[in-house]
Amino acid sequence: MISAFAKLKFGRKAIRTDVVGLDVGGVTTRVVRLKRLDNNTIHVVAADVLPHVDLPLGAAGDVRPAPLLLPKPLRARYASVAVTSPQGGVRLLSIPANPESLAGLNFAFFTEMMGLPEGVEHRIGYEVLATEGHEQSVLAVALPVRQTRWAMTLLPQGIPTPCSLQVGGAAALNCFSRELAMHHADVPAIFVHIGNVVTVVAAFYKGRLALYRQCMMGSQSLVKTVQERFGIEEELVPGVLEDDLIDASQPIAAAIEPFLRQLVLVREFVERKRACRIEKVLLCGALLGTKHWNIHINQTMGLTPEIWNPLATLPCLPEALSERVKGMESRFATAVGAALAVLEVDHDLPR
Amino acid sequence: MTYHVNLLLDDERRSASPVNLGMALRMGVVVAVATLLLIIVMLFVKSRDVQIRAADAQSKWAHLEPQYKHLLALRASRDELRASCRQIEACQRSRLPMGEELAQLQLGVPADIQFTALRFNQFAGNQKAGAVATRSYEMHITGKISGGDPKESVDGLIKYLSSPAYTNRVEAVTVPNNGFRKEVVRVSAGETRTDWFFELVCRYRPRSFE
Repeated sequence: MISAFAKLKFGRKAIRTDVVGLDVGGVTTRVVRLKRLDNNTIHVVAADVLPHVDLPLGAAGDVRPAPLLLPKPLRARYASVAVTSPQGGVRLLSIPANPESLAGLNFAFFTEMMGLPEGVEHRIGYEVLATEGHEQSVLAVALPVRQTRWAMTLLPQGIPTPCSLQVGGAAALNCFSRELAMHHADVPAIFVHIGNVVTVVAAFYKGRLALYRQCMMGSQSLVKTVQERFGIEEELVPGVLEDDLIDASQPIAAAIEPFLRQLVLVREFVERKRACRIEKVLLCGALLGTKHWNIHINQTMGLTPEIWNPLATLPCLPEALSERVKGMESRFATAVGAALAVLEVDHDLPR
Repeated sequence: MTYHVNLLLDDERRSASPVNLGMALRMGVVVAVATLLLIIVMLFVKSRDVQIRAADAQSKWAHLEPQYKHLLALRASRDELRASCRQIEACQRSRLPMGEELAQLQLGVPADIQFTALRFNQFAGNQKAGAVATRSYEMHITGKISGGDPKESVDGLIKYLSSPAYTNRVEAVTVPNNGFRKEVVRVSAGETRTDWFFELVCRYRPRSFE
């Protein structure tokens, strides 16, 4: 495991202009192809939703899924794979800005700091984001080795060839950052990415990541709560969440409570540390029961969250979005971010 | 700022090229070696073929060489003989055919002329280096005229020698100084006779050895 950690190298200098970002491990597989065109702008060339691929959650044995067959419009030369996994860890760490601290960034350090469970082999990576005064912020990610191997077997040969393997939450940060710079003038903002099991809260200040938190609740928590409270089948839950026929506000409030506490903590931490006010909350992901999320976030934060479409962050070529994408645009932050990470590392250009 | 923490290991990376670089290199090496071997084999086969053909040619040459040398000797002999023939022919062409000349001369000599001497002189001409050698002839005629008009007879002979029958051969016909004279001969006591004598020089055109 340590040798695998030592072998990690980041930021390979290969010029890539055509990358397909894959968000695997969720309820569906989100795929988006981005291309840097001649005028140096990144466009969405194609986007689609593919069937769910089972993410191996156990600790034992290798799982060999069937190779992922991408439709022709999505076949770029390179693929950036982001694994959305409840076992994947993302942490924004602050460490003293001195050489000793950098020398101490080893596997044991990250295992302890990220609270990785024992007995599960993880692959860990990190990137020093910035140094401010006596502190430097380090973005650390971890993914079970079994899931990294699984992800690589999705594209075993031919085109596209994997050039990047990222943790879903960290990959989505690229899309958040881009959206903030392009459409919100880098105001202090909080992005909320609601996943099926995990919800990510990322606070940005002056266009940089200021705080990152994962909350182990997602749309699935709401579904289960409503299902148990009203004793209905899972298929009927979306109707209950969207309509006003049954009042589900109380159980939903109870289910959403842990997330709201995290959200408040994030806002207070950023506002105090940076001496600013959070001006925007952007919401994306599996937006089941949007109105409930809106109401509760509004009540807690005093801000009306904006529903954000990650595919609108970048210009889109005509006919780029397939029929299956309609209504699911807000779930593409991770796939777009994974592809953006590769394109922007290769071309260090102003956004 | 880009948030890119890549968990991909080096041994998990592969080329985006549809052709695997390593495989292409290996194939290239194999093809190069195979091509080299093929060239070596072809050169060897060609060399063997050349050796066999050379040996075959040598054995044939050994058989043919005496004949070839004999042929060369024959050719040399033939060329020598041809050269001799040409020389003889040239020599023949350069000579004046005396018999024909005399036969033709008889036809034009007036009846009152009697030749007392006929002499042919031969000269070698055009001795310059590189020029074709020539041979020149002069015919000296000395004769006596009996009866008739001597001058008219001599003029008739000169006219005959300048006629078209001689145009191609004779260059000039001249009478030397004192070449036309009379002599009074005593036949008996108190009786004399006047004889006319003449000399003519007939110069022939040079005859080359070509």
